[in-house]
Amino acid sequence: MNDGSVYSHFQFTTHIGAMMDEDKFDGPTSNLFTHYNLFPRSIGQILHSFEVEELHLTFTQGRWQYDDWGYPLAPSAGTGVELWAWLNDDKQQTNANWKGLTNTLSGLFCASLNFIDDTISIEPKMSFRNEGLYNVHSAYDATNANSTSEKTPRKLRYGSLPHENVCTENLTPWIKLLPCKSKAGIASLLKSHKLFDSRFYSMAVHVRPVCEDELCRIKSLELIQTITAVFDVARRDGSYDWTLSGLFQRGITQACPLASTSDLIVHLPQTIEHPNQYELSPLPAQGVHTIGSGDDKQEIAVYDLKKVLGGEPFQLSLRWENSRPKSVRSISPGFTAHRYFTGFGQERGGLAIEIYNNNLEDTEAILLDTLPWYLKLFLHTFNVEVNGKPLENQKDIVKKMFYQQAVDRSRPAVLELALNLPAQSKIKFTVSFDKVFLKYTEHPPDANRGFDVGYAVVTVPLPRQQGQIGYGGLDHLRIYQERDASLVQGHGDGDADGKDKVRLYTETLLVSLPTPDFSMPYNVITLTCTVIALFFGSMFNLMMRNFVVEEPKKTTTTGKKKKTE
Amino acid sequence: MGLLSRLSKAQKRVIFGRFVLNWMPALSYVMVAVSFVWLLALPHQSYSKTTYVSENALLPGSANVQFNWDDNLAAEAYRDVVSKIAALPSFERAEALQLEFSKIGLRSATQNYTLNTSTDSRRGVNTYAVFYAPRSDGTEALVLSAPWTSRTLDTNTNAIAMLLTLGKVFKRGSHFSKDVIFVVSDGDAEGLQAWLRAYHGNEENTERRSEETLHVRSGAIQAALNLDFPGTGDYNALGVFFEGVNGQLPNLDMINTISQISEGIAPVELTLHDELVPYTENMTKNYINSLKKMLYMMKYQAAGTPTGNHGLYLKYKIDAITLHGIDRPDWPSQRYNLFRLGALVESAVRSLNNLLEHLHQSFFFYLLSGVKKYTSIGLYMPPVIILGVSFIFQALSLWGLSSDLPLELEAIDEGRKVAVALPYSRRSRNYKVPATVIGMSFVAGWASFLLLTTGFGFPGETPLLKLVASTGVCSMLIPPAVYTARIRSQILKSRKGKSKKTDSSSNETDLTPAADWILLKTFILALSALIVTTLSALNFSLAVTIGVVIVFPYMAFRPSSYSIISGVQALALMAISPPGLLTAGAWWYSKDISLVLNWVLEGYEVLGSWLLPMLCCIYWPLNLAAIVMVLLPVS
Repeated sequence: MNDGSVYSHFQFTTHIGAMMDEDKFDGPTSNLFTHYNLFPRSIGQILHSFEVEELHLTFTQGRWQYDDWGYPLAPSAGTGVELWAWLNDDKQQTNANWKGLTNTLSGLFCASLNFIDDTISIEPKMSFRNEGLYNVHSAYDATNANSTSEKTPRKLRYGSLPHENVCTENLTPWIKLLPCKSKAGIASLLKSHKLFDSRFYSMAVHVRPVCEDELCRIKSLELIQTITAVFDVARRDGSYDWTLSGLFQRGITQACPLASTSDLIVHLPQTIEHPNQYELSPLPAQGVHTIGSGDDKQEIAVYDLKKVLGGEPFQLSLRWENSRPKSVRSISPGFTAHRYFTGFGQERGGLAIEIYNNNLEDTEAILLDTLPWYLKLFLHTFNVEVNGKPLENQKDIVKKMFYQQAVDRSRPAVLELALNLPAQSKIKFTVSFDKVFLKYTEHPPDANRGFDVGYAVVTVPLPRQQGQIGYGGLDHLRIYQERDASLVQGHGDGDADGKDKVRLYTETLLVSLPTPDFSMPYNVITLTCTVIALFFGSMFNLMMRNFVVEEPKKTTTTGKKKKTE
Repeated sequence: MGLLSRLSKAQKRVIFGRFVLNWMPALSYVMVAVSFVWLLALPHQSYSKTTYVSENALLPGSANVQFNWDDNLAAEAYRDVVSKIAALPSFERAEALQLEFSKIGLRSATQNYTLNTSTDSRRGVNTYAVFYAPRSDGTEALVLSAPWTSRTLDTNTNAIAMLLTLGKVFKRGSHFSKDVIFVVSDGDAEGLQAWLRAYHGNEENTERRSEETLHVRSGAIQAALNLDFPGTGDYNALGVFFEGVNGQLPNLDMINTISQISEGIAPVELTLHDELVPYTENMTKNYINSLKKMLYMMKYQAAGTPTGNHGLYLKYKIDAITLHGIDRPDWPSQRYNLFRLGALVESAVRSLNNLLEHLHQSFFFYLLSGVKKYTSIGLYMPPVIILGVSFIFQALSLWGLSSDLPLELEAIDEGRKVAVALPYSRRSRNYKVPATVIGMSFVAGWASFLLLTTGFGFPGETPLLKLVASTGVCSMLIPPAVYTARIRSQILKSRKGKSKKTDSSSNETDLTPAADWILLKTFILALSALIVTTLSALNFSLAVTIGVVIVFPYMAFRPSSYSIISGVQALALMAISPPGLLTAGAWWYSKDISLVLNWVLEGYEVLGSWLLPMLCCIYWPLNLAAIVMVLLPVS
């Protein structure tokens, strides 16, 4: 990438249940999971028991710098953990299933996913459409009267934990899902020590139903596992050179024998003016491919690991003349979104979301923002500014608005907007809120840090192959694989006009609510305890002790006094 | 016990009333003395404790410092770059610096701002850059800032070079949990203020002020360090400045962290403000030293104008201090170069980076008599409260004087004479004069405030002229008030004389209302008590200053039958009126009055300091009322 970082993306795809007949297929029910083969059984069982049709789980640490890096290959880049799933609602047990799903995944991935409870789970109305088979079906629905979506009512659940840290403990169970673990293939590069020393790290598990042929007669369930890491190679000595073994401290010695394909693809830097600034060694046998055209041209080098490897560890390196590039084509993402809090103090605040459309045409987009219930939004303060000027008629920009009022301690506020972004504009939404004074038990540990508020998600359609480093959607890699070209058609999150829906994630934010002095309760407890002890002691003494007037004549012993009592 | 219990309730009241009348004035003077002695005892070593780092997460100086000799060389190279850039006009300067930041690989931008005050118009350009901590969520940030001009009015070359170098150093590591924002602000304080306003989404675009929206942002700012290393040379010591707008103070742990680091990992001589004290054997035990340091601090705090750009952060609940390089070439001590300072600042940032929560553990209210000596709020509040209570006691005794105590009304009960207290006062109080005087003087105070802060656009309009005008407005109030009151009392006297003649049976001469000045003085004292005690919680030093200035004049002065004495008292009160204090201040610092006035006005208009509104709308009215009071007729 332009700032000298190296972006690495691992993607593993596993299919299950090929050769399914369309009429027999009624969601991922029993008959699908009869034979696991390479598909991890742990995932399969979860899908089966909680009637999950589509599952997307992403762990991310760090922020994706859209301005510097363009769009990520991985579809999700929001900091923390993001989980969304389409659940079968046949038996109207979605809520129970969702709860079970979060708890089980929490155990499987050693993460605090069980904290995704009702207070942060939402059901987006426009964002996070399903990416799998059913899109194809709905396309068929237009022509065929029989609608599968009616047959199997589905519900979407979405939840995110912005402050979840991702570490080795999450990576290990993730690797376990791979057929070859980290023993062979590109997975052998996954060394946590180096992966977590990067600028951005994201790993994901996506499960979705797919078609194996064009008419969708054969269906299967696809498990895609991705790991994305951005290494800052120039950090130590300012040199932009990198080697595979230097990045990962490991080499690839053999391809995973169970894999049907095992490719390593290098996106070559897009230099301008000075053609031969760098040297890639070894060059791939087939030479360098070029994909895209015009400004979006991108050169790639593809290595088929099954052929390249011959016992020796695979060495790959890229060296620059003078160890720094002279000129590289700059990345200018068409859309960027930022979000920040306005105001100060602990009583009230405001939220501002800025969306930039640098493209030359108007674009539809969907904005989804979830705010926890302890921020009381005032919808009447919702304002839209275009290029710094307040907009009088909000309908020009906000085509549709879905707003879910928060309910204290049970559900978050959801603001979902269908937008029309004018060409080359900056749209700014502002809304103000009051901060709630929480019960003291509701504060998290380290209460004075504040509360993390998760990202907003902007879904924008982007034309395919915009020549950026990549753009979301799980199908991006297929453009390199011609043999799968037929499957790309009508697949995934794309529109009919060859556009991919890309999700932009804004920053997560920190909000500080009025925080009590937590040493106070302990002061009070100690004080009250002392007072009670003194009070109780003396009262007990007064009530239980028998005061006897001792006559001066009777100088009796204590033993006799006891008798009188 | 026995005696008291047998006395009737009424008798007790009589005794109490007598006690109040006889002893309260004396008691209040004793309390003033106690409060003064207590205040003077505050800097004493037995009163102040040694500071300690309260927040465990800070771990000052425990991280290995990355700032090495190469970085020192880089800093020296940057120093040349910065001195070259510094000569450029604002905009080009900011652009050039932005380029330097982006060369390091930090995301940087500039911000334009304009601020029109009633006296002048200021515009400038800030430069800022953000170091995004790798793998962090970016919800928290620290700020390192440096103004272009140092407090010594030199170019802040070393500090800006330091920011650039630290940007480079931070970029090397992957251990930061918080982003670091570098801000180089233009102008005096308005530059950083414009940046902070925009960062918190409060930017305005009006005639009075306009601030450009920020294009690069980070998370919630947890703490800030403001660097002030003037020139390009080495320094004898490092001064810590911490007093903010309106006397707000940062968390004491900020200072503790720096002092701990300066004793350990980056040994540097640290001092409060820019006062160097010659080294002596038992310097920490030296009372005069401590007193001096504490007085400096109280002076800065009372003024309500920050001693550096750090003071602007405090409003946003960001703890901040300024580190100022003190350069005294003739001072006999070791000198420190950028290498040492770089290590110190880096270590401090690393410490703050360790924070798990916002700084909340240590003290927010303290008085410092040395870098490592503090007096906490529990110890310094009593004297000022005692001072406030002494006002109240004085007021109460005057209030009692205006009622019909002593109430020795006797009744015969079982053949004994028993004192009976009435549940009401038979002597009416006349509020007309005191209420009008107080009301009018507050109106005059407000008027003078408006006069001072409004720009009328007349040719030759200066703040000084406006001050003269507002003094005129205020002083115009005095003669009419005094003469009306005098005439009124004459009329009352003559009327009373008449009524005496007609109705000789009533001999309750002492039931005529008390003299006007008594009630007026009661009000003045009660209001003074209110102001001093309320202010003590907001800005302790200002409360103490005001309390000390007004306590004797307001308590002791009363109208005299000798007009000379009254006149002298009035003059003394005028001396402690805001214009009088202004003149005194200008004389003390041997500066022009208009300069001092401009400074006060700027404090209000640029920084939002409450000193001017406080002086005009609260302090001055009471002072006016007091002047009227001493000129009123005695009876």
